[in-house]
Amino acid sequence: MPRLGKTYPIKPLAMLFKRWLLCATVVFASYNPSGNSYFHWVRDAGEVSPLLAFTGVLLLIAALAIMRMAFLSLGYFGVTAALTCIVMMLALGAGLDLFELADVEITTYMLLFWATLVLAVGVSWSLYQGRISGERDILRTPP
Amino acid sequence: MPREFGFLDLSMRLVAGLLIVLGSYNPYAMSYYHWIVETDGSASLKALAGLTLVTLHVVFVLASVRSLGPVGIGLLTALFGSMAWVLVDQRWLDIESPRVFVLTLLLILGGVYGAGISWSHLRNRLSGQVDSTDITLTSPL
Repeated sequence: MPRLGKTYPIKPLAMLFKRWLLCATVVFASYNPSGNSYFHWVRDAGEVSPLLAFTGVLLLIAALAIMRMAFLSLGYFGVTAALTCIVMMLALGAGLDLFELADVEITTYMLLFWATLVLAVGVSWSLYQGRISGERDILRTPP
Repeated sequence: MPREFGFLDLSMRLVAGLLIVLGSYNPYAMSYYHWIVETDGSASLKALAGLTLVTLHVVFVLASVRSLGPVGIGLLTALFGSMAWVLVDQRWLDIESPRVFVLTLLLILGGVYGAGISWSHLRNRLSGQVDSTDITLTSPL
């Protein structure tokens, strides 16, 4: 068990990539514009089947846990900065003529991709902070 | 070098949660409840086992409530409940039988116990955030 007073070496990029894979799985499984996602499954399903409910609860738990961890780690300032980054990246891509903002599918993909990246950074940030400055993020109970 | 919280640790905690719940009561006559109700004698052993079980339940319940919170416990119950629904729908689980129904409820409780004592570890492994309890607030001295 990692001790609070010690710092252990981390692999920043591999760590971020693994967490990004997790976030991307959850986000893209919930919604993506290709038509194969939980959103489309719910939309096209006539009635609620048990598997649909199970997958929904699973995705909800994963999304809530990830978003809460990311938000607690980054805080309001971090989330604002990250959202600004998303908008700037979209503007940059459109400005460099990589894609048109009017192309809804590409824009949605870019938006989702940057959102997953923000979530991954948020989930990893406590570990980075612990390694860089030695400060740990603590959740206190009772609140 | 400290060990990371792995799959084996999670499985052991889930098994421990199930053992504690099913050891206290299960509908198949192999539990502490049946030992108390159906046999006489060995009162000291019964008292010792009972106190051990109560202690374990308190530890697990407190850990689950602190780690998951009411929202987490509700969500996990919904997850295990919908899992049971899938099994019932596939006819792998005969919920009409009262014994199986009670066993399903107990398995859900055991799963929540196991997840409750694992979640702080999982969260720490995933994001580096540490769950803590402010014990100064609850101290009577």
